[in-house]
Amino acid sequence: MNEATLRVVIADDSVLLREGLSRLLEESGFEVVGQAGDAEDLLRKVGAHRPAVAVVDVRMPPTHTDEGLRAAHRIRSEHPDTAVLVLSQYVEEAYALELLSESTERTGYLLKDRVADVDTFTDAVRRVAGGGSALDPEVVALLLGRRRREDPLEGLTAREREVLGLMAEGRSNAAIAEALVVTERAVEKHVTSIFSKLDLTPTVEDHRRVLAVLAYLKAGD
Amino acid sequence: MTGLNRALVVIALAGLLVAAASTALVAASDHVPQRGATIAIGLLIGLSFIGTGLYAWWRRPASRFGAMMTGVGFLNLIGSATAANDPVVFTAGVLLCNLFFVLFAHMVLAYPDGRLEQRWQAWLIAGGYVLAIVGPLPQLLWGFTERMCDGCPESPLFIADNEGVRNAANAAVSLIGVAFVAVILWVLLRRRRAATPPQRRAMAPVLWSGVTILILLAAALGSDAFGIARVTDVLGWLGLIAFASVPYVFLIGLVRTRFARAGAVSELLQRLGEAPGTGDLRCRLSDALGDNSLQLAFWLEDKGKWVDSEGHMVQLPAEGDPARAWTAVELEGRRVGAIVHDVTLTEEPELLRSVAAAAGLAMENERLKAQLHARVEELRASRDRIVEAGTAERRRLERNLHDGAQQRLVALSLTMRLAQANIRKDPAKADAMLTAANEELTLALGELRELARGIHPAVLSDRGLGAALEALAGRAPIAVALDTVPEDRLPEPIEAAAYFVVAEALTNVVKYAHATQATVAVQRQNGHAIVEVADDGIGGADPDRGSGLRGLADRVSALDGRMRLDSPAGAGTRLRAEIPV
Repeated sequence: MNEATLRVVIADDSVLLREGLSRLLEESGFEVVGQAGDAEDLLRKVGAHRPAVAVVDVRMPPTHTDEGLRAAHRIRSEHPDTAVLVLSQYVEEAYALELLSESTERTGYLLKDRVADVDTFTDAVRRVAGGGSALDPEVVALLLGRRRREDPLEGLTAREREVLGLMAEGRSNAAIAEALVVTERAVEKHVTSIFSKLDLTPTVEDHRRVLAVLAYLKAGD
Repeated sequence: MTGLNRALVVIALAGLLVAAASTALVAASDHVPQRGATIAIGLLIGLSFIGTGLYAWWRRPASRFGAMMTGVGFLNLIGSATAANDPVVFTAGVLLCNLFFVLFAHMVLAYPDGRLEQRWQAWLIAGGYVLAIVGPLPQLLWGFTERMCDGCPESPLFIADNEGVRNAANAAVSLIGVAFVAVILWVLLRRRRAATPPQRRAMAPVLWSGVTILILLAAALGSDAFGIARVTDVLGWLGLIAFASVPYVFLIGLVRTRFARAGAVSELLQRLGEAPGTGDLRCRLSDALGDNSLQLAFWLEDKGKWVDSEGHMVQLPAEGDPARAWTAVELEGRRVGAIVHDVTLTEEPELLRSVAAAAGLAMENERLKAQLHARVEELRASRDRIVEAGTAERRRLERNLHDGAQQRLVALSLTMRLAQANIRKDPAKADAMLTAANEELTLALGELRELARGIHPAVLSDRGLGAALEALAGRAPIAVALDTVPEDRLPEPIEAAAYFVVAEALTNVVKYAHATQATVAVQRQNGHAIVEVADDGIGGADPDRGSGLRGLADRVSALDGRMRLDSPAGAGTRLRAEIPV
């Protein structure tokens, strides 16, 4: 990841939040090149500025339902170089999985609350800008915690479940190793073990791996 | 021929035999003054009672009334043994000849079913029988007066002529007899006062002839006690004539009511035919049956309950109710209602049947009206409950907001102030406080999110029932399989109702069912959205438990749907809601 300043467009119908977010990102070394109050404005500004990342709220005018999500889809298809990080009021796996189902590249779904945790938030922005993905830990917890009739996840060790969760969040092996305070080698071993227990084809690319894990968790009933 | 009919024929033959024997006795008697008249009146009374009694017995075998009436006839004939020339037979005749009066009084008192109401009445009647047998003893012991029995054979019980003792004993017996009759009269009149109109009508012939005869008897006994012979004689004859007429009065009453009832039914048919569905059906039926207390009940098949014409639920009288009974009304083999009437009418089953048959169509019309009323009533009640549930929900939200998020925000604002105060002199402390504040804030946000979700999950309106149920299933602490969900979106109120039915059902499953898994299915069938939630738990769920299910039922019925809970003990619970789309 190069250290060049990342250009960001922010879309949220609340001016207060937009400003706060903008200040937070600027202070963390990003360049906020545009702010939008609705989806149309957002698409226009993304087209004009070609930012590295668009941070988008799900609920925006005029219907206040899922304009942000739909705009996110359009950005991903019309401007593949712009990453999208969707901020949501809800822990809705339906939204998250919908967003991440086609491709996990340059895509993220976070709870809005996360912006308060500056490091996690900026890390997620950087991750999607760098081509990776970010999925909110609460959504991951929901997917992992789901009761299944014959639950193959029960065959995993506690540590393996942790690793699986971090994988689903879109973290790389290095990041997982750092988070769990273990060596990357150890993480690799866990990953191999998880993939064999869950009968998944091992893959090295991070975003493919997220896709496989999410597809597995989603279908796991 | 049934066993009863055979028995009745045998009794009839026995009656003829006894009548023949009594005729022979009187004809050969050397001490009966007017033998022809005595034979005639004896046969008239005896055979009339036996004949009418057997008829009543045959028509209403369940009642003892017929048997008692027959008994009066037999006892009356047996009384002719007083005409015997043989002293022993004569004595037996004298001892038994008054029994028929007591049996008659017994019969009147026990009308209509032949059973006495109270224990003391049974003792009274038993005393009457004893008195009837003991009563003639003074004359047998101390000699008859000439008037009573001129030229009678001398009884084996005869001691000696003793006019004083005999007259005193006689007077005592007569007075006791008068008292006995007075008590019975009092009971009869009191009972009449307490009776309902149809009961009065039914008891009238027996009551009034009984009262007349008993008054004459009392008067005769009274005059005898005071030795007014001429009056006694006249009253005796009047009594006999009145007595002879009893069976005929009874018969006429029977025939007359049958005719009157047949007329009432044809008039009912005519009136119902003239203007079907108008006017007061209850009045017409109560006219036809002569029962002002008559009530109508209508059957609501889908609810499985009886209602009155206003749609309020009613309870039909139970089997064996002493005052009320009911007769089902059917139309084309389908139950539409019931006529609730006085219990005495059950003695006329043919009448009830024909009135019920005539009323079928009119009852069906009234039933539809009652059904409408019941529905309006139900809607009103459920609307009230929905409003109440709405208020309760607001109260709950207010409490949750106040106790949860608001408290945390207050605490947060306090922490921030303290942090601000410390920011210069103790930056480390301020930093720790801000960290704590952040944690508090995260919790507050989480609570708000859950609260909003409980009010109405955004995913339901954004992505539809499937996604919302998916989310619900994913959050459940037991395995929940989502079987089928319609691809197309349903109208919003139906989706919301279906969602909350599943949500509440799953909450109940988790709380009470001890289940390991549940299945949720939503299908569109015949213009309905069918929502089903089934679990593999312990079953035995009570549909009235808690307000949750009740509220759901209201929500569903507000959309014209219905909800059913099937929860046999030990075999899981299945909740099914059908909502028209």
